[in-house]
Amino acid sequence: MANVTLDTVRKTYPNGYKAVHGADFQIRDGEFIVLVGPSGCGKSTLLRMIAGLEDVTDGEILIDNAVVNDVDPARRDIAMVFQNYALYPHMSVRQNMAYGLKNQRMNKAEIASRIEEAARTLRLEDYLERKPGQLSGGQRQRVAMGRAIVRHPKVFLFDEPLSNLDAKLRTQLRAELKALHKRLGATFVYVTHDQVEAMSLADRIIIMSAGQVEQIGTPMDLYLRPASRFVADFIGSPAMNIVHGALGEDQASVTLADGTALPLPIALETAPGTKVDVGVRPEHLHAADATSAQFNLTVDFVEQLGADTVIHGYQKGVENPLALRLTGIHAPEAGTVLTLGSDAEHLHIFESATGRRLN
Amino acid sequence: MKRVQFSRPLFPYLLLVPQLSIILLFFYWPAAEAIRSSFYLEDPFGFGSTFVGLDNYRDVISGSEYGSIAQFTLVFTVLVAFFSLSLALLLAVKADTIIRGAKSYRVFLMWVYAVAPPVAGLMGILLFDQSLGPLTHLAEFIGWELRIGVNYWDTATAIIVISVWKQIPINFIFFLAGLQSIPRSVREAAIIDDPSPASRFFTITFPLLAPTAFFLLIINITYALFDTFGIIDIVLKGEPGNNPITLVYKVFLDGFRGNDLGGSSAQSVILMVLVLALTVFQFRFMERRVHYN
Repeated sequence: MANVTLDTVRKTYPNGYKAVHGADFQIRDGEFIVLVGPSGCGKSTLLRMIAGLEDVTDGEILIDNAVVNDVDPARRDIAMVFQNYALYPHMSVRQNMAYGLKNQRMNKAEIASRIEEAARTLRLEDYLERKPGQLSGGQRQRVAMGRAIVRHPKVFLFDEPLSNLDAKLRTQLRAELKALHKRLGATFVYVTHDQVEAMSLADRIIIMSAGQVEQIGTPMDLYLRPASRFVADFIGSPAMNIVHGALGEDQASVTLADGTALPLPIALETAPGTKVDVGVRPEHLHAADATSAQFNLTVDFVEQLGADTVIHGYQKGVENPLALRLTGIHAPEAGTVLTLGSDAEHLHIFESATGRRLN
Repeated sequence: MKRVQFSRPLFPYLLLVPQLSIILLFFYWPAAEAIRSSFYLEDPFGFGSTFVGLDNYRDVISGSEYGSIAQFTLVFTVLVAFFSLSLALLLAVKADTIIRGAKSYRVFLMWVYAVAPPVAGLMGILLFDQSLGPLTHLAEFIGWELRIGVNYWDTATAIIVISVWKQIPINFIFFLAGLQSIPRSVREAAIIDDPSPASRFFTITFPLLAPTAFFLLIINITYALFDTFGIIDIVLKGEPGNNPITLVYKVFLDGFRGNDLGGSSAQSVILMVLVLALTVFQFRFMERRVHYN
């Protein structure tokens, strides 16, 4: 059990590519942290630096308040689970789990009891003598987790562990992971590109883009108050609606491309005429009467998902795509115009040039 | 395997004819001819032959030389296979970890593969030349006076060194390819599980290279037994004297220098049986112990 601190950690590859530009945050003891972002954002590099598989170019990484920059990966007291399982194909499940412990010169009885315990937790008792080649994808990933658990590490590191599994298995293993974290109470650092995984697992999410940390917060922080247009767009499915315009003279409305004014329920302090992006989530739009309407959605097509209906269309006049999410089953005709409004707290206004949040 | 049904049943056999005729012409026919003539005493001038039964075999096995040449061949094969495999593995492991100049390093190690065995033998002779050879000078430096073609053990050393040098590149290529086919994440998992690189090599890397090593072992034994003929011939300059030779070289000497076609045929039949036994042994007993993914 330990905290992990990153102090202005940078990574520059020998070819000059800057993968991480100064990551600076602390992971608390026992926390489930998810690093999320699109591919190439530096999240895996960051995880691999914590593991010791990549050198740190600049800055310091501390595990349990001790600097580990130059500590051998095997001596950092961490365990890692890889995307493609990374099991030793020539060893049985039992040998796979015992390998790391044997190298720590642990006595045989202790190794056996730890393997037994992990196998029970992960329901692997019947497979201990099998080779990885004889197991299914889900079972292999359980073995990989077992190999991590038996080490009783200070920090568990997961590098997209569920990405190679099919959707159903992924959901099941996600729940198992969450339960495992609760049971072990250990510090988990988990990398994924899947925002649903991030939202459902994390105590706190660290969202990254192009080597920068965009925002750190609880899933609800990120959902309700995204710090930038990038975060707003990344978190939530279907993605947040963004309408482009310029801030009006009264600083409380946005003028769209066709000249129509979109009233904002709040006044901003930004200079009039600034190009802004107005964001609102599809589930935060609701029917409005003509006087309080902010958006006019012309229906294009409808996705009926059973529990929800997602209506796709565009903002009338500016052809800006819009989506609306309603609970239950609805079937509006294509071409219908819906007048929609949103509450002030659900409107997100970003400066177009920087993507920075303005309200 | 995909099954294809041909409308004319003889057509597939027609497609096999070129391959089969090559095998028949260059393998089965000479092999059958060797077996036949091993039971005859051939007239050196081709005027006739006399059936002598197993006499040729009896002569070969009871011959005083045969045992010592067989012994040398065994030692030679073991040494050549061992050194060319282990040195190639060492070089491949090193080549796999270097980051800068990896390509040129690999090319330098591979180019020897393109050298034909007799040319390799010639280059070897230059290296071991009595007055100019750098290797002779090197040996002199540590107080070893190398006399190739005169001293039995010095000649053996030269033949082994040249044969190993010639075989390292092909082993290197296969080992490097084998190393690069081990998933990066498996190696990284091992880095986290085991702090010692040497112990990681023997517990993870080498077992995963076993299929490659097994294949190369067969290739190398065959190489040492048969393909080193050119190197030996060049080093000995066709004059064996009392220098070390291998069984294959003796087949050539007895048949084409000694004109003892019957005895030479009997020796090649013995070699054929040896290779057959070796192949069966390797596939039956060793393949089981090798992990295949």
